[in-house]
Amino acid sequence: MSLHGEVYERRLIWRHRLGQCFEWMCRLATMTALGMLVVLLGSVVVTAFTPGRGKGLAAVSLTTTGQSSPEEMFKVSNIMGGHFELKEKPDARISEFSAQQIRDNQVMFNHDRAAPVFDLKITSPGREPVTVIDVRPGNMPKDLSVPDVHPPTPAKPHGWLTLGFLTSFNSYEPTEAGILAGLWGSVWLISLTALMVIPLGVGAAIYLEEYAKPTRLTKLIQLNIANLAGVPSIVYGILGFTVFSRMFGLFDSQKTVLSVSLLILPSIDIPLPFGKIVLTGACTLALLSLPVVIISAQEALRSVPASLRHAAYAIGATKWQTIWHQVLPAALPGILTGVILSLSRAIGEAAPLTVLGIAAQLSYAPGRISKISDIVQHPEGLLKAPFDTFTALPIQIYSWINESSPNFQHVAAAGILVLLATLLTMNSIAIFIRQHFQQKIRW
Amino acid sequence: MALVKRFTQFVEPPPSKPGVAEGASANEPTQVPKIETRKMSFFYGTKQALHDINLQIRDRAVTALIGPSGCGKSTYLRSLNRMNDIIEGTRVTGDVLLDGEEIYDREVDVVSLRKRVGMVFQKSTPFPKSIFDNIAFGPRIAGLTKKSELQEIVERCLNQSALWNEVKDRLKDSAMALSGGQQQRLCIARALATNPEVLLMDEPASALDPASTARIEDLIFELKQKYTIVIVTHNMQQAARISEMTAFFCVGRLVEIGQTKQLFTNPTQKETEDYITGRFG
Repeated sequence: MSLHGEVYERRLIWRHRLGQCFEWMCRLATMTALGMLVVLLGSVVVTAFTPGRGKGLAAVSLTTTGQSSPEEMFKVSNIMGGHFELKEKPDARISEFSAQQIRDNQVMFNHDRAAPVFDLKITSPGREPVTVIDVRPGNMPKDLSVPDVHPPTPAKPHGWLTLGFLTSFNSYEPTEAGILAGLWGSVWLISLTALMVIPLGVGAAIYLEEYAKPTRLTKLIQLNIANLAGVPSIVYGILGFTVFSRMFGLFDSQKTVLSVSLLILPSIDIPLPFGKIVLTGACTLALLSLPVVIISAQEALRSVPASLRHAAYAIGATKWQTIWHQVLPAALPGILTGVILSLSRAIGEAAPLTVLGIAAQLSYAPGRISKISDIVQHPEGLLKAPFDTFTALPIQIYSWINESSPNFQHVAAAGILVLLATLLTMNSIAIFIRQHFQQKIRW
Repeated sequence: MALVKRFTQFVEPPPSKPGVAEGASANEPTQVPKIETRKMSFFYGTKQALHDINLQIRDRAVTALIGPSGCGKSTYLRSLNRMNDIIEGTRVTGDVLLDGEEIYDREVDVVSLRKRVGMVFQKSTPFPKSIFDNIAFGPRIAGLTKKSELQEIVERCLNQSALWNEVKDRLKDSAMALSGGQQQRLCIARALATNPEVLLMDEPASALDPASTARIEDLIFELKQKYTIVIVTHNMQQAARISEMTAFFCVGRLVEIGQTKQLFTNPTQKETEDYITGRFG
C-alpha cells in the first residue's frame, strides 16, 4: 500500500474509471425506466388514436349448423356491421337484424311451420342491397361465402378520445360508447375519499406524533400502520365488502331504506346495508389510503424544526395553538404530498371496487348529475349522489378490455387516457396548492 | 396583593427604579430578587445536570451566565420558564421562585408563566409568516383581536427592539427575508409583545456578525431598564460589557456569583479565574 508513486497513480485511474462505470449504470437505469414509461404511454396513445374497424362489409360467410333441427342457425362470421334483412316471401314480413343483434355472429330464426322461404339480403348502410340469397329449408347453403364487396370505412378516423366520448354514457356500439358515468363516479368517489381520509389521517398523525407518549403500545400501533400500508388493495376490498357493503349481514337481504329528512332539504334515501353505493367505495378507498397518509403526515410533522415549536411555546402558546398555528402550516406541504400520492393510488384502484361488485357500466351518473347545469336544475342530486350506485373509471376500462369487439380496445385506451388526465389534473391542483403554501413558508 | 402587582405590570411595566442596580451585592437583602432558585437540581432522566443551584436574579438588571460548554447554564436558563418541560423525562427538585412564588407548583399554568418569562433563542427562529404576524402572534393567541391594538403593540415592540425604522414599510413581508441580525431582533420584539417581566436569552448573539452583535448588546442595555434579563453567553467580553451580575457555572454547579466587575477582575474561586483567563474551558 502506497499513497503515492506509480501504484497510486494507476489505482487513481481505475478509481476514476469505476466512477464513470457507476455513473453510466445509473444513467442506463434511468433510461430504461424512462423508455418503459414512453412505450407504455405511447402504446395507449396510439391505440386511442388509431381509427377502428368501421361499418360496411367485410368478407361474409354463412354456414348452416344442421338440418334436423326446426330452428336454423346461421353462423355469420366476419361481419362488422351493415344490415341483414330476412324477408319472408309469402307475406313479405321483414325482420331486420342490425349489427348489434348479430354481434355474437349468430342469427337464429324459426321456420318450422309454413316452411317459409327467405331472402337474405345483405346491405351496407346507405347502399343498395348487394347480395340476395334464396334460403329455404333443405336448400341451405352449406358454406356460403360472400366476397368482400365494400371496403369498410374506418370508424372514428380522428381517434377515440373525442368530446362525445367524454360526454356520453356507455353503449354496446363502440363508436357510441362514452365514459361519463365513470368520470362522474370517480370524481364523487375520490372527493368523498379525500373528505374522509384527510381529517382522519392528519388527525391520527398529529395524535401519534405530538400527543401520544412513546409507550410500547404506540410503537406497536406505529408498526401496524406501516404494515397496513403494504396490504394488497384487494384485501381492503374484502374488508369494505363485509363492513360497508354487507354490514356484516345485520340487515335483511332485502334492502332496508332509511329515509333521512333534513328540515328544508329534500329527504335522502340511505340503503341499509350500503350495497354498491358511492359511499361504500369511498369508505373502502379511504381505509386503503389511510396508512400512507398517516405515515407521510407523521414524516412531515417530524420534519418541522423543533425550534419552531419552542419559539411558539416560549411566547406562551398552548400546545394546541402551537400545533395549529405553527406546526401544521409548516408541515402542510409535506402532508399534501402524502395525500396526493395516496389519493392518486386510490383513484386508479380497480381491485377493491371489483370485490365490492360495483356495476361495470351504467347509463347514469351518481345523483343523476351528468353535467354542471344539472346541479342548478336539481341540486338535491348533490345530497343523493353519495348514496347512489355508481361505476368508476378503472372499472369501466376493465370491462371494455373484456369486450369481444376489437373496437372496444380503442375505447379502453381512450378511457385510460382519461384516467391519466384525471390523475394529472388532480396532481397539478395539489402541486399548485403546495407551491402556494411553500411560498409562504421559507426556511 | 401579588396578584394586583402582577396585573399592573401586565398593563404597563412600572418605571425603572434608579440607583438600585449599582452598588448592591447579590446577597444583600435590600432588594427582593425577581427570580430565586434554592437548592435547585435538574435531572435528565437519571442523569443529574444541575446540582443545588442557589441563585438570586435581580429585578431590572442583566445577569450573565457563563461557563464552559455542557456546564448546565442553558439548562438552568430553560428551567426558569419551564421550557425543559417539553423534554420527556426531565425533573426538577428544589425551589424556583418568581416574585417569591414557586413556578413548579402544580397549580401554576405553564402558559401564563411563559407569558411572564419570555425567551430568545440562540438560533433566530422567526415564524414563517409576515413580520407583523410574527410579533402579533403572542398577543393574538392570548386572545387580543383588535387590529388597532395589535398595530400599536407591533409598533411599540419593533421600536423597543430598534427594528421599526428598518421594517416599517414592509411589515407584510416574510420575516424569513430579514437578515440574521434583524431576525434576532425580531425574535426579541416578538418576546416583548406579550409584555413579559423577565427575558431569558440563550446566546442571542453567538450566530451573528460583530456589527449585529453590537446592536443586540445596545438593545439589551436599553431593555434592562424595563425588564429583568438573564443571558447565557460564551463571550466573556460580552458578559463584561452588558451585565451587572455574572454567574459562573461549571459541570452542573454554580461556582461563583458576583458583580460582573468584581468577578472578572477579582474572582474568589480558582476555577473562575482559570476560566476567565483562558486556562480552562
